[in-house]
Amino acid sequence: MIQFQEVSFSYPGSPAGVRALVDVDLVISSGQMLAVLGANGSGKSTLARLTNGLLVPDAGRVLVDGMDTSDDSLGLPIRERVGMVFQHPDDQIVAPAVEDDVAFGPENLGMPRAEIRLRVDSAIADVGLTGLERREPHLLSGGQKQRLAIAGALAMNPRYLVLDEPTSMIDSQGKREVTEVLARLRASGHAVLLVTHDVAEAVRADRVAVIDAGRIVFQGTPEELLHRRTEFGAWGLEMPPGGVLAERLRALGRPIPVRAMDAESIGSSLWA
Amino acid sequence: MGLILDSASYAYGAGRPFEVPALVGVTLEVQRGSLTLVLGSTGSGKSTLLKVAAGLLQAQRGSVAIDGRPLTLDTARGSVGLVFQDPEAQLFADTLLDDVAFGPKNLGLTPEEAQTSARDALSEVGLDPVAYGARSPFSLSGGEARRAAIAGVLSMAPSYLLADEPTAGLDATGRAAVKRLLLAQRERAGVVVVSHAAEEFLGEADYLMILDAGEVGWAGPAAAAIQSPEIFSAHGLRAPEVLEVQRIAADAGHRFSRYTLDPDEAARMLVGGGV
Repeated sequence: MIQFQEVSFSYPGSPAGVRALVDVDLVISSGQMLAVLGANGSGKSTLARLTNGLLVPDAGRVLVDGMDTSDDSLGLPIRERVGMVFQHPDDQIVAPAVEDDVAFGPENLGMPRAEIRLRVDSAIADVGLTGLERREPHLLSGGQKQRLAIAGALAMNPRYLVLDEPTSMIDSQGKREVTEVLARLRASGHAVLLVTHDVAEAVRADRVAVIDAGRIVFQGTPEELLHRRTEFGAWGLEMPPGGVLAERLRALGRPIPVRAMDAESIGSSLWA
Repeated sequence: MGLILDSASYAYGAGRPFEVPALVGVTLEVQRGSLTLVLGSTGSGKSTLLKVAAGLLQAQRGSVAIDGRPLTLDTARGSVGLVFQDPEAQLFADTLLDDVAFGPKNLGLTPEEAQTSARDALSEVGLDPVAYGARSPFSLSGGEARRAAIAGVLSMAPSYLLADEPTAGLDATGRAAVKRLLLAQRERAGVVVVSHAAEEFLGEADYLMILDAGEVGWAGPAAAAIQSPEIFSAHGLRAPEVLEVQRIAADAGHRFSRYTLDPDEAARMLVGGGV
């Protein structure tokens, strides 16, 4: 598990008293998907970067399976366990073909070729890009690119996958593709930390933490989150139109599940 | 009058063996006082369309005219404003005020006039010139940076304002601010918004154009598109969720007299089985 223990963080050069994260306590357990939900500037990307030692806390500790991220000698084992995917897939795609890009990480670790081949094939299959191994990444759609970036992280066999707004720059088709991949990864036992400002995405997780001005202001299940609906505005969150429709239908007596904010789920619960 | 593309085509690497057609025979008419939403999946030609409409790329076939004259870099300057997708890529000066004043200065205004235009533009996008003017553009939040980039374009008071994915990556507050801003511009300019999300501007747009593999897949009044939700999936897009639920309901045999984007009205119709 990844543990945040009273973690605070300020960026160098920020005015005195301005902290990106304040006293954050959080646990990311194996086999679970945790969504960290917050507005732009809430500190959620900072939180993501603290999970694998890209940033280290000013106060408090981040422990990855007991390893303290502030211990420089543990940098490699920590980063092998925590894979990271960022908002812009283009920023982390480096090679001229899909399979070469996925192989980049394992190759840098100096793994045997046969092992690299296995890992690459299995990562590409996990994200549903089988058949596109020789495709040039710039010819992929937005959703395919982001799935390629996820495959690159998976090829390192991470125990934890941290994704920082992986769908905010891609179209709705791509969003659905990435969401499906994340659901599959969770089912296969990966721990997933999804950083997002999209309520519809967050409610698909097992647990949700809301972050506002650097502080965790809510932690609980998606059901519990919806009970705090009136605070969404103050947290800089917005119920998406599909979520509003689901609320209205519930108010009219239709049993729409909490996680149903997309047309298919709403439709299937309306006419089940 | 208007910004008019007439059967405009553009191919990258034209005439070379690996020519990639990006825009094929696209016709679009933008009038002042209107908002046109352009939707399309990745690679459908949306950004190329904006570059051609802004005069940054020259159509190889067909024509582009602005207020009756052929569109060139010269006739576009100051008349067509383009907000690119990544605002960070457009901000460059030491202070926000200098950044926003850069455009008007290049149009030949005196430094004082340029500063005045810049101050007005900053106020217009909700960034108080007194509080923000002296700040570094690189100290802004995502939503502020996006609005600052738009201010840089508004400071030239363009007759046509083109915006590429103006709300992508922004949270609820940022999206609402940018949306309000672009809708307000419709009062004096012709606004074209390119997006991959149908949800965002469909309800407010006057016209909708769907690009599909570089060609016009569908074009018409946005209100008509709302009444034909199947056009979105026909071109590889997803209709807004509220509309999509009604489409699924219609497929399941429910009959509606009309489709709506309003969740309240949609819920009543779905529960009542129609209106």
